[in-house]
Amino acid sequence: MPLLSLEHISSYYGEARALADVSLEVEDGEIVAVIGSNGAGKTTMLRTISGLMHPRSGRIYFQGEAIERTRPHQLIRRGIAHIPEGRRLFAQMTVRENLLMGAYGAQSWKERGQLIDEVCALFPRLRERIGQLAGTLSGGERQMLATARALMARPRLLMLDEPSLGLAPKIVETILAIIRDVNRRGVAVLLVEQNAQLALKTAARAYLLESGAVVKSGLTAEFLADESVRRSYLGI
Amino acid sequence: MDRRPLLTIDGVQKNFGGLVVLDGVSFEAYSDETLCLIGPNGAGKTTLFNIIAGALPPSAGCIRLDGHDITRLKPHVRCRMGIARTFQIPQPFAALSVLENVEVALEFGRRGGRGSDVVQARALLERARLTRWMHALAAELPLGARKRLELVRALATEPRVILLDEVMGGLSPEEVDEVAAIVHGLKAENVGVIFVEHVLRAVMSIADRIIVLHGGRLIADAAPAEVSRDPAVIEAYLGGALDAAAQP
Amino acid sequence: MLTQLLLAQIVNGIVVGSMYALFASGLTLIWGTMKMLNFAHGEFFMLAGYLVYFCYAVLGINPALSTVIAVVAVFLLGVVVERTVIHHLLSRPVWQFTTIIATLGTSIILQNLALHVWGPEFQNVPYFVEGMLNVFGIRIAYQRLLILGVSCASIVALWFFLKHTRLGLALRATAQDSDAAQLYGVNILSIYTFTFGLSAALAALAAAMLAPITAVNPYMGLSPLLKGFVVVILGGLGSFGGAIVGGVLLGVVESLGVLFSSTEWSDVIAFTFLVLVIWVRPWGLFGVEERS
Repeated sequence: MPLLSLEHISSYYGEARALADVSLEVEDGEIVAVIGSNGAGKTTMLRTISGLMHPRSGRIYFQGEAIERTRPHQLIRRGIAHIPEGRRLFAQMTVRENLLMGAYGAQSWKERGQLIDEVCALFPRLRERIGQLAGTLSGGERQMLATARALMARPRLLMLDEPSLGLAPKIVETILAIIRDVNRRGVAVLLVEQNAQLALKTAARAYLLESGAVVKSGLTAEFLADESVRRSYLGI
Repeated sequence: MDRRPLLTIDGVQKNFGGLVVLDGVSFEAYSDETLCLIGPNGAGKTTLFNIIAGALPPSAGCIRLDGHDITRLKPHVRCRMGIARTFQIPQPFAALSVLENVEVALEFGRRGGRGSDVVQARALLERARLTRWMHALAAELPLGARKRLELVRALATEPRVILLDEVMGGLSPEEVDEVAAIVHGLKAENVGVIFVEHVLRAVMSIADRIIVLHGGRLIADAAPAEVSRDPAVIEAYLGGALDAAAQP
Repeated sequence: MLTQLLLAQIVNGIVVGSMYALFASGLTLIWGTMKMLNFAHGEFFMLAGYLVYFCYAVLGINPALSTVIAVVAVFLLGVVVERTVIHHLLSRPVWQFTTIIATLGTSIILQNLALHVWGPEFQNVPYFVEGMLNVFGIRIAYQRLLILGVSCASIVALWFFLKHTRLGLALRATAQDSDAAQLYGVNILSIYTFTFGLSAALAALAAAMLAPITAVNPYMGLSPLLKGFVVVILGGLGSFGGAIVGGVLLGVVESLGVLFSSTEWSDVIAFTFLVLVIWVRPWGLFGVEERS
């Protein structure tokens, strides 16, 4: 049984259809990429999974349970962490407070303290800036904080929406390395990226979205040296 | 024959505070071609579009229509001079009928202020295949029809060049074809068309020339086939060439 | 002689201003978290005033307990109003306007309820503590010192709550980014309800303190509401610190203004001050400048 599965999901913004009959699976411990040009529906898909919007039809299963009508604040407890497009950090809170929010569902302040220690071991830069306001961090540090915040929730599935956006290539490499590391510890990853090359380098399997529909899916090796991705992004 | 540009965009620069959104963009548009402005997210194409339409002033550079500098002119003045634009989210006069919407555009938007004409309004509606919606309230229209109405209202002002702002977004393939047909007709009438679009598959077959923006700069200006093979464009859109060598 | 008068007025201004601050912090809390304006805030103030009058002046329950009863009761009333009147509007279109109308309606209902139950007469509430303190030739009523003490304590408590408790963290997170807050486990609908109740409780506390000084009547919420909005805009919408500073500032400006003219002019002075500040800094003293 896959960890996450979408079955024939269709989502709308008013009358405009943003997702058309999308089906997708993520197995335990996998890294799956979803690529597609701007406006393809990638962000809508993640927002539908994490409950920020409800699909008009179709079902979503996480660990066997249907979650398409579940409210977002309940999903993090079940193990789905969503790092939204643009990071959406709490800019007027400190690094420490942002991390605490990641562990909002934890049982005790002691546990939250332990989690902060664990997560700062992965991101030493954050330890240095622990008292700083999140809004004053650099782009790379912000992505690190957003990732760390998600990890504070001990997710089983980590969903990232365009982590490379606005970041220098070197920093993107660091973030991806950390994601690979986290994945090796058993966290499945759903990586949504406009940057196809980056996504295909990192994931084992991929889906190509175009105008809200899945037009290609399979192992990443099948995507490389295939005209279909270029054609999808550039039209011909 | 000496082909004069209809619209000249010359060294347009736009800064928002310290952020450079457009960095010296220059190109020319002609009345006998359909030009498409594309670029990945954040490339500056919407900003450039708004500058050409008059909704935003550039920080530097100028826009010329038939040689006349229109950089400082307000949108309604540009409309009278022959530049029409559509809006990404169509906002017709919801309480008026489709026919009345077009009549308003004919009444106020045309050069020379010739006043509206029901015959002309109907002709325009027929061109956009909106005749069956003629007496319906604009608020009742589905998305595709609303976008065509938006297009028709712009056409009613008898423009010399029409600017289309992401007109294909959210349309079904059949609806995309309908819009494409209207645009083809415009070319025959020597009305210049400048598109800004995300949905590349739609425009690649309609555009005569494509201008690619990336990071505020113009990185390509060529026919669709060339542009889609240009390594700089591929890198801008896909992050880089996809080949087996890219695997870690 | 003049310096003493000036000082006395400034002290008075700080005292009254601290109550404006408490009242306004409730409004700013709702704005910050829910992005809505609560036009019934003055009526929570008014009902708490009546409750204190009823418990203390009529039933003879000691003032501290009366205050607690008023605050708790109005907190619950706030929760009920949010759940019944506001809740379902928030997810509908143009909620920014429908909530204004709804709270305006609630305010009218509550005013008329009070009118019906207690009549239009002004009711007097005796001072909680009698006597005056004499320092440097300035005489300050102990009641006013009590007010100052209570407001300082509650502002500190509120600050502590927001900064150092899990619920306070959740409230701030919801105010800054409600989507992200939800993604990390915050039930924002519950937060909205709690915030509304808390805001009402703050208005109630202000009323309990002020009731002995200003008399209790069904329309006593009107002027504070107007002044409350002035303070919130002065301090910057959404800024808790701004509400505090703005409140005290307004109190002092009013008090000093009354020295040089008469009481009828106090509102004119207050609003002129607001217009001048907003002219220079449209986003308020501590507000965040919005770039269009």
